[in-house]
Amino acid sequence: MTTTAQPQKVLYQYEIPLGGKRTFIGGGWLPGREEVTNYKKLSPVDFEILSYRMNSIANEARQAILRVSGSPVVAEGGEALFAIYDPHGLTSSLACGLLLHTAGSQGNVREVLDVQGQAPGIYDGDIFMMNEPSIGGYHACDQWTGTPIFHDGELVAWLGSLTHTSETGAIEPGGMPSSAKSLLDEGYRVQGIKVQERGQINRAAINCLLRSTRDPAYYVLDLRARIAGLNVAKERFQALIKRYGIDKVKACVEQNIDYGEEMARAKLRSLADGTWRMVSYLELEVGEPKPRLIKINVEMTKKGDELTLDFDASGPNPNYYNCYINGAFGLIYVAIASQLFWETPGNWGYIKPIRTYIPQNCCINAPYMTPVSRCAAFPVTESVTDLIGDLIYTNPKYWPDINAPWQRNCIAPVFWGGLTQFGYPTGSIFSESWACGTGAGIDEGRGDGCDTGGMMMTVESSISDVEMFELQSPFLYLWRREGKDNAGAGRWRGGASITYAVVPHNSPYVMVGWAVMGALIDPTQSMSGAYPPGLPYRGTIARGLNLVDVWKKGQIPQTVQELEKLAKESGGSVQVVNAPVPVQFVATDKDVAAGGFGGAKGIGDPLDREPERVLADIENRIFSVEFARNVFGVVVDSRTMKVDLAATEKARKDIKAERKQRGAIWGGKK
Amino acid sequence: MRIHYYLDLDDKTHQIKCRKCGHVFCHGSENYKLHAPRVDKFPDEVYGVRPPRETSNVIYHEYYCPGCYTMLDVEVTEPDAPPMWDIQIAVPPPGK
Repeated sequence: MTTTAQPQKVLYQYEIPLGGKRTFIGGGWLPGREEVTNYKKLSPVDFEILSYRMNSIANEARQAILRVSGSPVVAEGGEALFAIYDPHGLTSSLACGLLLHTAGSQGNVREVLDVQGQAPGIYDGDIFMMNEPSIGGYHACDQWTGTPIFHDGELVAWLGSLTHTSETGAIEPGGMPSSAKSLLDEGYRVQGIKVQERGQINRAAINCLLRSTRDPAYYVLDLRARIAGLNVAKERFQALIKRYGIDKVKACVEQNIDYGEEMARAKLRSLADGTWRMVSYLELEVGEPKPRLIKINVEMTKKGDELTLDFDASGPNPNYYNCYINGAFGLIYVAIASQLFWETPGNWGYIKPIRTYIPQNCCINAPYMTPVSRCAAFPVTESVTDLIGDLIYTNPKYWPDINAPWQRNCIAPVFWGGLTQFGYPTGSIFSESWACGTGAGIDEGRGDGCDTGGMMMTVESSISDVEMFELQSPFLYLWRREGKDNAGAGRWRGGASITYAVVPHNSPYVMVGWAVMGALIDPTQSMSGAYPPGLPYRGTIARGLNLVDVWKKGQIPQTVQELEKLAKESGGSVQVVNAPVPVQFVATDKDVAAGGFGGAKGIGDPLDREPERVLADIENRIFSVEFARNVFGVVVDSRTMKVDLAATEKARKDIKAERKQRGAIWGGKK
Repeated sequence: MRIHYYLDLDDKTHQIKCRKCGHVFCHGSENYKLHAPRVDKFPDEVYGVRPPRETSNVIYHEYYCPGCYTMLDVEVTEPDAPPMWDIQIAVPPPGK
């Protein structure tokens, strides 16, 4: 789906107008907005106790989700969120392993109030479900369930739990189909139906979902995990009301939001006013002779206690790298929540000082029905992260927080589906996405990024070990290790990301889906003179290998080059993957899918990195001897593994001399 | 006031200076990159896993401090793009 219409910029600043009357919604009254916001402010002691208790409730409920769900995405990737909202659906307390939804999930409550409030009504014990990307989520995998809290006939709060549930019954397994040409290709989309009515599970509604997915077992586990989170939180919330009284609890829900706003505005006031700019690219429409550039510009202006983000982006992509407007908010708030307002309570309050302009009908504000399952995710988050990094240089208090953007590009076999070794159908994902490099800091902060440290939008993520994955899934690993020469090289380097190769095993029917982003260009930059990270490792599908014979000899291929050699000897073939491809069938014990992720961004001139740090990088397989020589100007003897200081000094002088010789002021002046 | 890993904005004169060598680029109301030597490089000129120039639509614009030739920024952008005014602190123009 493409459009040639001239995009029109729109200001997005979500507010609920004051006023409004009390409305009867079936199970009780929904108060007007003014009634909710005119609360009696709690004493500092009461507020501290109650806000902490609410935060604990949200965290305990999220832990319940993680422990009930068996899905690798939730249990290991940490992609689960729990929120307490005010009666109108504005987030008050948040336990968030999935920063994407710090802003977005409250749209779900608004939709439920709108479509269910009058008829059939909203009652105590109802649980609603939503995974519509155009309403409150990001893509169909992000599935939300929510329940109202009534007290004495009045709606006083909402609880919401969200998981990334991989299998959506889309045209490819794993929920993010490369082949999607429309939202209709991306699986079922639930629009606020009741999966539980007045305390009773609605089996007909749940069966609609279970029979629409390849993997009902994991699906129902995730659904029950979300319901478990709601049950835990509801019990705790009601106990809170009993102990402290309804007026104080209601006041705390709103005061949390106001406190978040106060903290956010105070931090903004402590930073310099100005404007910062960034451009990044998606190259994903592959064309001849070059891929078409899909561009995202962002200009960030900070004035007083407000921040304005003004985006200018190319039109929607023909494939699934787009997002709807609430997806763009999610991407923005991954950066805002983790880099700027990390010490501020995660709620609607810190969103209020931010104004966002985004053109209509672009890749980050796509028209309805555009496929969005993979999303134009990382350029938005990375650009805003970069801009925030530059903004917070202006107050020394925050120098330790400066953090270059994390990993974003990949050519990796991320999704898979088929029959497990136990004979049941599934669609799932590999866990390597959560083992990517994190961005560098500066001298006063963290310094180097963390190798295979995580994923920016799910900061608590972890990764299952190979043996556990092989036990649960019909695959064997040939290798899994940190990629070499792909971390962003700088005075402080970015973290290296992961590379891996898998072969299906013990199953007659397996397919692999690919995530491909940033395969042909360096799409975003590092900071302050560091080089952009290298491209991800080459995506490869090697077919028809005699792997069983090789294994019998006690050998395991360890590189793409060895796979190529083996393919030649076995009469097989090798396919290079450098653009989004449809899901691929892979043959048991014969076909190998290999790929990896690009590294994270660095900070500062590589020539300023101490030679001993570069040597340690070589010893740790982060950079090669050749890379060290050419990029850092550090000469290491590969036999003795010692730095040649004299040769290093000369190499660095030579690099600077070349800069001087070639450099010219833009516009022609030498 | 610090505005970049390698750059300060002088609180009194509002001039942008190199933190390493003290080189003065310009007044803070201007784009410092208009006063920094730039080299346009194909990504494959930089060692590592880089896109070949035949398939890459973007190149690297490297900017250096004219005093010490420390690399200040590596823009990834289209070949003919002017220097991106990436850091524009709100300061009054000179003389005001």
